[in-house]
Amino acid sequence: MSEFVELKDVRKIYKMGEVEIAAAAGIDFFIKKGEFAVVVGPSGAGKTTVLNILGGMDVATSGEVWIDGNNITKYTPKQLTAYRRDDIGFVFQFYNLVPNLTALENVELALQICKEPLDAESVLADVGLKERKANFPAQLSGGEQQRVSIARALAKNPKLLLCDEPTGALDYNTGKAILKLLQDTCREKGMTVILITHNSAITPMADRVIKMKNGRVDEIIENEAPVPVETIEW
Amino acid sequence: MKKNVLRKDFFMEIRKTAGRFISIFFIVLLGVAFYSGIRATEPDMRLSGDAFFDRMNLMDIKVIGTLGLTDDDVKAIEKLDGVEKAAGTYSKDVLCPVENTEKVVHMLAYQEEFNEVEVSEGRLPEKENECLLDEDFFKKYGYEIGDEITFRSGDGEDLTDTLVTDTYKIVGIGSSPLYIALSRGTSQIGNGEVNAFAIVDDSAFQMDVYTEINIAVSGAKDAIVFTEEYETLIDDVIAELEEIEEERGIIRRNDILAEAEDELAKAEETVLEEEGKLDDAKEELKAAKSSTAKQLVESQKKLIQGEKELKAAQQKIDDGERQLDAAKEQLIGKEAELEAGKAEYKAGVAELEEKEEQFERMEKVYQASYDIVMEQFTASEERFAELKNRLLEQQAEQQTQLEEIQVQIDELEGKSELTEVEAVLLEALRTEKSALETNLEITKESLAGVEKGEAALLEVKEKFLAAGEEIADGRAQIDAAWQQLNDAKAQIDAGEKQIEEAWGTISAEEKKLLEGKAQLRDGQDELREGHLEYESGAVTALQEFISGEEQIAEGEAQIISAKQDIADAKAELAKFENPKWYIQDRVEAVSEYEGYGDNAERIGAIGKVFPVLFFLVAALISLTSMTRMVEEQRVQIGTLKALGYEKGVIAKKYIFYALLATLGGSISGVLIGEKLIPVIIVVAYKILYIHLPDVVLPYNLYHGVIATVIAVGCVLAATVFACYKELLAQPAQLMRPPAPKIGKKTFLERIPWLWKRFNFTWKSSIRNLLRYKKRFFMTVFGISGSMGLMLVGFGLKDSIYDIGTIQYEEIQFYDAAVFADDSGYKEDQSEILSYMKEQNDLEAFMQCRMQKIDVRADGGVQSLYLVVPEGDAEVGEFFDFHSRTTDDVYSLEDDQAILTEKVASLLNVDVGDTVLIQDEEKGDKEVEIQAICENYMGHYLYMSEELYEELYGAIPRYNCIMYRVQSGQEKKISVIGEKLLSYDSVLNVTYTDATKETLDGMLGTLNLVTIVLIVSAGMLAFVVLYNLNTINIAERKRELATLKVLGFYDGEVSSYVYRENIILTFIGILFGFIIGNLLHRFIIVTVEVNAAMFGRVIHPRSYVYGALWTIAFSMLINWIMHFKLKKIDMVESLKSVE
Repeated sequence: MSEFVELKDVRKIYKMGEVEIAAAAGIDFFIKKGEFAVVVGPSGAGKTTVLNILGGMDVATSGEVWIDGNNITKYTPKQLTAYRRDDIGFVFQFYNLVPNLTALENVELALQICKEPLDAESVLADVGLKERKANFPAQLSGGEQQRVSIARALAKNPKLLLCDEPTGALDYNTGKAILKLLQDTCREKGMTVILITHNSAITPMADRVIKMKNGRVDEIIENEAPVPVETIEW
Repeated sequence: MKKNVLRKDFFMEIRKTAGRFISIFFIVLLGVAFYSGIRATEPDMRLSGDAFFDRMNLMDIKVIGTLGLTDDDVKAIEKLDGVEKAAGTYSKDVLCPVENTEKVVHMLAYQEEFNEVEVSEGRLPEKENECLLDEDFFKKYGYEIGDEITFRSGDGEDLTDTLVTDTYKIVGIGSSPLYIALSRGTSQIGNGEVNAFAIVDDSAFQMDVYTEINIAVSGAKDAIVFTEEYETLIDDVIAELEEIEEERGIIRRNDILAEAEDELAKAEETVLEEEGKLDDAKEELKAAKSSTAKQLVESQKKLIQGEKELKAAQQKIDDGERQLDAAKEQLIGKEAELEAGKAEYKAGVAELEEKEEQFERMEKVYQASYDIVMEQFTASEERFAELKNRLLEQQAEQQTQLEEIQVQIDELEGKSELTEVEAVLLEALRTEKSALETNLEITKESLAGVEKGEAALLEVKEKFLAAGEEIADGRAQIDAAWQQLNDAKAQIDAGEKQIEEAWGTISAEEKKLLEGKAQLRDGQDELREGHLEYESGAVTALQEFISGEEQIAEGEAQIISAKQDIADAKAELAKFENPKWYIQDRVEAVSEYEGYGDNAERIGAIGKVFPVLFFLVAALISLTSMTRMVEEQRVQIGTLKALGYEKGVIAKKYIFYALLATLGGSISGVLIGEKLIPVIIVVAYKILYIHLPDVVLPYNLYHGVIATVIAVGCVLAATVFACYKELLAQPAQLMRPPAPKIGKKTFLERIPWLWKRFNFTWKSSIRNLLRYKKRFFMTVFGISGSMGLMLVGFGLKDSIYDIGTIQYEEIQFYDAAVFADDSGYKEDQSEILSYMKEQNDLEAFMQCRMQKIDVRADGGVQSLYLVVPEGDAEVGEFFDFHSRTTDDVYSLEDDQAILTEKVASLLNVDVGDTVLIQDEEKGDKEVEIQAICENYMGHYLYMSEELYEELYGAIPRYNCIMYRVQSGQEKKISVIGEKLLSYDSVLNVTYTDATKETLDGMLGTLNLVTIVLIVSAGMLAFVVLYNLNTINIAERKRELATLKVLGFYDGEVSSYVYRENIILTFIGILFGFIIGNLLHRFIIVTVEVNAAMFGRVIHPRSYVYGALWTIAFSMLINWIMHFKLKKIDMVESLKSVE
């Protein structure tokens, strides 16, 4: 398996009584290590299903999901937890910070459970929040909270950074800044980043764009020359 | 349409949040059930008691007269206002031998209108010798219906003075409303403790006056017992009774006096009469003496005559006997001869028989041979005859021949010369003649032979015939012998007959002689009797004379003493005092009646505090649940609002939700609680009050409605308030997530060295706890409330369980206290004291004065017992005065007046304060209290004799003896008590053991009540914890889902939540200790009746139990929560904040 992330005919079927709904109807794609991939598509296209399956939060009904040479569809719930713990960094749309912990502590929260964590303070400094590390989430703006969230994900030193609409709850400029942070992280640290969005405007910044429609991959575009976020307007 | 949708939403909501709905329902149910149940128990207990007492027509008041009560008294009482009915009746304490001892039985006359008897087997007594026996006693000692039971008097008086008989047939068993529990009251006889009652028919008593009058107060049946209403009614009548007591006393006294005087007059008369009679008797005696002497002389003469006659008769009989003896001897000689003859005869018979036999054998042989022999003889004779004939013929022939020859010869010879032929012829003739001659000779010889043979034969024949003759002779001989023998036999028989006849004559003679003898004996007996009669007649006469004289002397003495008695009685009558009435209400007259009321009151007191907190916790928790629910659904509320629904319509859902849950819970709670809890408690009390069968449990609307209104009101108000708050906000605001609460540094963070030691989960937990103050408060309150309630339950057990032991083992440790009549004791004192000194088994005894007094101080007036031990007594053997809170020990020598703790607090008296002893006769006295000592049962003021003397100017009159036996000699306690009770002045004996047992029994049931409390509190703790946890998890679903996404294992997620629970539980437990402690103290003080103090201390192990239970519940909840947490979907984390 040469590809870092590879999905092979992944299907996810929900049974609602007699009716079967295919949230994912046979998805195939791969992402190379260090790539910045964007999964894009309208609502109901199966983006979130892909994310859930990649993040080990859900299990595919059939198909194979290979992450760095391991087929995670065969994992037990406990192995999946370990996978989430050690291999995945997750950036939520609504940040999901623990409100009772300061920025720094929120980062440290993630660190205390993983094997080779980075230094929380330096990660926070990396995302530009060195000054605000002692603040509680409620004292931070949305963008700042998302940065803490990214810092929390990065500090775990994951193999894969999954971002679920990271700019969904943010205003334009803040969103752009977050996207830049993610792109920079990818470029500078060689982190494989998968970003899920419904905003196709940001696809030019990605190395690989996976367009989804009706539970299937509609189109995969390999971007030879991705552009910096700053140049994108939407 | 819109309503339908909302309604659907409403029901969906209930279904979706069934857990919440049910938990509110149950919390409210528990709270209301417990509150209304416990509150209803007190009235229920009273009602149950009331129903029973009313049904059994238990008297309201009983009047006992020291000198009995008359029909006039009954009428006088009946006339009083407020008296509905009064009836006199009889009772008496008697002793009943049981096993090796005697038990006191209280005998009561059956009364139709009062104190009905519950007959459980058999029937009521109908005749004067029948009784109905106490069921408990009956069973305990294994009587059978139909048994006879014999009572004995216990007071020295004859039992038949008051009762028709002392032996009764048990015709039934049952219980009386006068005895609702096991105790039967006290008595002045036996060991002082009544063990049983017996109901007899009215006719069994033969008394002139009633011993007591039972009174029914009008309106009292309608009033509920143990309530003020009832007590006021009774007190009014008692006051009236007290008013007429003196008047009636005077009347009774005068009656008795008049009667007594009458009797005295009669007695005097009788004495005079008796004197006259005595004189007559003297005369009579004299006359009797002379006539008796005459009679005696005559009879003696007759006796002598008789004796002579008898002697002559005796002589005759002796002669007759002698003759008879001679005749007998002769007869016996003859008899012997006869006997010898008989023997001879027998021998003869035997011999003859033998001979006869031989002979017969011979005869037979002869007979057998006779014919043959005879034939032979005849044959031989014939042959001989033939032979002879032939021979004779031959001879004759030969003769003839010879003669012929001879003739020839002779012719020839006669011829003188013979010719030769003649010569030869002669010759030939001659030869022939010789031959013939020879032949003739031979024939002759043969004939001789034949004749010889014939002769021989004849001889043989003759011999044979002779033998035959001989045999015939023998036969004749034998026959003759037989003849002889038969003759002899006849002779013997005749002899025998003669002898027999002689014997007959002799025996006839003997008979005659015997008759004569018997006659003689009779005569002798008669004579002897005559002698005896004469002698005894003489003796009796003598005795009669003596006794007559004695009687006369006695009569004279009696008359003297009767005169003295009359004089004494007259003197006594002059001193005679008014009789007293003892007016008893049910508290005094019905044993354990007050205890029952106290128990109801205690439950009431518990009900005032305990369920309130319980209820509070329940209300608060359900209130929180509802508030949370409204807050959680702000988005929905916002949406509906944005859609244009009116506020009321939106709020309706929550209000109805709350209403349905709380109202449902409340009503179920009232229905269950008011039936279940009183039943448990009343049934528990029935262990103690076994003869109180009625359980009346009406729904107590008052408490039910109050509980429901409060529960529904609180929760509804909270719901409305929460809705109102949300509804005030703009829809847009509602649809946005609520502004997150601002994280704050907690005080712990100001201590960096401590804070640094926490990891993030701990930090988060602590910040969580401190940030959500409302939830923190709620949870801590819920847990500490339940924990506190449990602690109160355990604490109540501790407090109550101990007091009997402490009181009677650590404070007052005499085995018995003997109470004597104030004035009478002096008479028996020295005797009692010397008796006590003789008892080797006694460890110690002490005289003291014990008196009920009223004491006044700041806190009011309290009545208590003044105890003044004898000056030089070793008080330490019986009491240990010490402080409950400090280690101080007091002694009466140093601290001359010591007050017990409870009454000190009731009077509001401290060490150093003075109290006023109220006394109308001797005047009020001020006493300074030098110490206050621990005490649980009753109130006492201990005073040294010295101080008493100082106050009253004299040493006290002792009226009480306390004693303690050596350990191992416990049997002696009642032996000594019984002995002391036999003194007239001793009124009763109180045994500490019995008191303690009663106390333990009473308090033991309270134990059961505390178990109800503990169980309920435990249930509450569980529901509270469950509810709070459910809320907590529901609120933090997103956070927990995020943790899962971050890679926390299930266990780590659970422990993240547990940590808070554990902290809250521990804080709750700590607060619970405080709440429980305060509540316990409060409840104990309220539960206590005035006369007792309960332990104030909760044992450490109760704290441990309470805490352990709470922790156990917490752990159980955590375990349940673990599964709930496992179910949380990680996808929750992706959702926006609601």
